[in-house]
Amino acid sequence: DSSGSSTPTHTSKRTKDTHIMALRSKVENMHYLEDQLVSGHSSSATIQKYLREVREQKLRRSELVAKYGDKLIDSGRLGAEEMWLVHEQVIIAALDVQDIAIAKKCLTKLMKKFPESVRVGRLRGMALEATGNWAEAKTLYEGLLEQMPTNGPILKRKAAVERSMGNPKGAIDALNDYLTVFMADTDAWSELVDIYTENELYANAAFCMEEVITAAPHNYLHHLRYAEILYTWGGPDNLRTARKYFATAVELTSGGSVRALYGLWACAKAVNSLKGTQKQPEDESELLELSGKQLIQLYKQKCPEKVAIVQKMVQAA
Amino acid sequence: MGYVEYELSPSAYVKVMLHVMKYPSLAVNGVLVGPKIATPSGEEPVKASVVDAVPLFHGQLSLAPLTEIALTQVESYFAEKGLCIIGYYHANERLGDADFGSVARKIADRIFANCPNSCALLVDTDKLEKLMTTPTIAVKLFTRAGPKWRSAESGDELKLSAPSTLSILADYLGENRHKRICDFGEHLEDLTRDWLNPNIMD
Repeated sequence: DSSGSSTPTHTSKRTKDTHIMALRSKVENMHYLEDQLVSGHSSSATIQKYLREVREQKLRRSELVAKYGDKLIDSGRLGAEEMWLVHEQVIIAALDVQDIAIAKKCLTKLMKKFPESVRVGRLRGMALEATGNWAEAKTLYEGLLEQMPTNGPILKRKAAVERSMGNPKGAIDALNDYLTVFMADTDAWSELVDIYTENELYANAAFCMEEVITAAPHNYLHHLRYAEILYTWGGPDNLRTARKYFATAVELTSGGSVRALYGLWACAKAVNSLKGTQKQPEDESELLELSGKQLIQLYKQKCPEKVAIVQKMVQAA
Repeated sequence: MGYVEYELSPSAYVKVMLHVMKYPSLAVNGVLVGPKIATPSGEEPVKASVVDAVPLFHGQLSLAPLTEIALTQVESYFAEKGLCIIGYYHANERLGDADFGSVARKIADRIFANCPNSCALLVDTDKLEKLMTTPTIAVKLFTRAGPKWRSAESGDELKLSAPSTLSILADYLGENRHKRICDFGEHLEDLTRDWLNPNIMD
């Protein structure tokens, strides 16, 4: 593809695309690109842009990436550095949708180009994982760790294998090993929250969630998740603390998050039912009323057919 | 001994499976809806019609507050139509995980408390691969025996009300209809999305 235009139509389309993309939010960009791909306008340039966006935003769009990434590789459009990044990206996507043939094709090329690479080793391990060869994957990762004992991605793969095998204790141990070295990795703390939560180990989940909040205190999702964990864990102290975190989530979203509002409403209701069991009874009636009102307001704007159901729920409190 | 025979309408089965297929890497759950189930007495089986399914959540299913709210609203909506929540469905995150685990049991128990004779369906992940080619019912029935949930032994206790259900699902998957299904969790993110999925079977 030439950088200078040869025909007026070619230039004007490229300018139009760039202009459009600059004006839209990231989410809209993704939808726009996906629509282009799916509706048959899958030029190499569009695919290249799409794969770049997916890489940068760290999204999981495996079906499209595997299908169109393979085409892009064959198009000859990619420069040297991006070529191998895209190979890696397509391998992971192809494994995700069980297109083992495409994955192996790209993996063979990478192995030829980078024979000693631990990074490629990780992809070999993931191919083993995708075909259910857990023991072999583990052995491979252990071998790679002998070469590079503190390789973060490989340590994480160990945790992933354990989780895929349905061995939460193994996954927890592997993640804790990883976090000993990489204690600032919020994703790893977040993964631990997931594993602890689904195994109903709420105290541990809460502890790890605190690390996530500390790393990103402005993100309402973390406060919300923490609040839900505390609420589920239960007990008067947890409910009271949860109430505060639900309130923070509502505040951070200026009352725009329906999930946060429902959480606050449910929690205020639960705290109110603790009344009379404490020396200083607290009264969450104001928050209960405010969150209920805000919910109904939002439903009136966006989901009028369900206002009645929400009103019924709120009035029963 | 009398038992309950659960019959899934096309709408119920298809919605469950579309929900499962929308989130292939996550656990999903939801509820089953139908008229109140009579208690079996004597030798004859009692028929329970599952007329609809409401997808609830995907991803982290063990957190309580929104689950309670979803159940309250769904119960409330269908009560006005003379229907109740008569079952729970659950799909585990991992392929090959056939456990009716603790999180699933808790929610199924909560439903059972309000509706004796309610059931639970656990998605059979081994059957998912063939849904578009040689499909068979991809859910397993669980019922309460005393305090425990146990897998139904005979094939008689779970049926599809219409033989075309499996091919309807195969067609829908072929046209990516699973991408359109909406659960309660998605509704929370975007109130304009409807957990009733009124047009999904059109």
